[in-house]
Amino acid sequence: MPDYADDAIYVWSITIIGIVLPVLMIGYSLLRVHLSKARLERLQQEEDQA
Amino acid sequence: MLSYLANPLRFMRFSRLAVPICFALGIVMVGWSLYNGLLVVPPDERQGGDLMRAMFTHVPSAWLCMGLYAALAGASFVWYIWRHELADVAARAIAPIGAGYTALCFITGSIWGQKGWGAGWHNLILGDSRLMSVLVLFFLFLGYMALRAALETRQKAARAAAILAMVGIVNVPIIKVSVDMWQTTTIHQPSSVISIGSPEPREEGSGMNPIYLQQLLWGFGGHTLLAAAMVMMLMRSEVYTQQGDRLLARKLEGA
Repeated sequence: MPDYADDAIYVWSITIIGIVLPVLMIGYSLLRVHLSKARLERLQQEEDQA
Repeated sequence: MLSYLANPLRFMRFSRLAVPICFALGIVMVGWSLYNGLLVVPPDERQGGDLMRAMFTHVPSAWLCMGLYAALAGASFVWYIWRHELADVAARAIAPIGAGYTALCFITGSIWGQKGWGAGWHNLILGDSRLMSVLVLFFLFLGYMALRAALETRQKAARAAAILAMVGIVNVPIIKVSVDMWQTTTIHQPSSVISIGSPEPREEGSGMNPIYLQQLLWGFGGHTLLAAAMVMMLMRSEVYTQQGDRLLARKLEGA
């Protein structure tokens, strides 16, 4: 790992936040699409059965 | 291309393929930018030595939050003029991703400013034109989402939110020129890549070194692809939700 001396805490914390926040947004998008697809499939199944 | 994709069925077919490709390319490009930015390029003494490595995260997010707002305003305009439903779906999907990237820009800038300027953005925000205009952008994204959630019918919510998005676009050029035209009202450094309206002519060789610019562009391209993939996923989610709502309405009518 490179030694950034006094700057290390700033550089690494910015980089980690820069990775974590987009990953959280990706997770949110995946969850939203999963939930709405599951709801649609459930409703379609109910309609087919009726 | 856009008119071809304006059909929801074609969009669903296209996005099923495009989402994983955008994700894969985006991750590779962001990874490449961070690898080079953190481990390969030499520190730039003009920009605080190793501290400048923060820009490979901060600058792409700053460019992207402005780009996403422009996309939100563009999609709102298309919906407002032509009432194209998929444009409204796109606008709705862009807002949370834009808010996320604006938050990322703010948080990383605050940490960078803590060391670089000796004060975090939270201490400076009221007196600084760049910081204030980015904060306004964040509230515009939040305001857009709140307005959509607050009104009772989808049409009313879409119309009010589209007007807000179109009016708010005036803030994007303000963010851009705030560091060049109003240098006395900001401690943020002037634009390093594209300078608009700067009162002082730029010195020879004061622009960004191409080895840094290259990594910034890789990062920006990668984050743009990731944001595109997320927006397409949220659009798919909205299409599923609307299809579900129609099924539910049919079921209730039949009951």
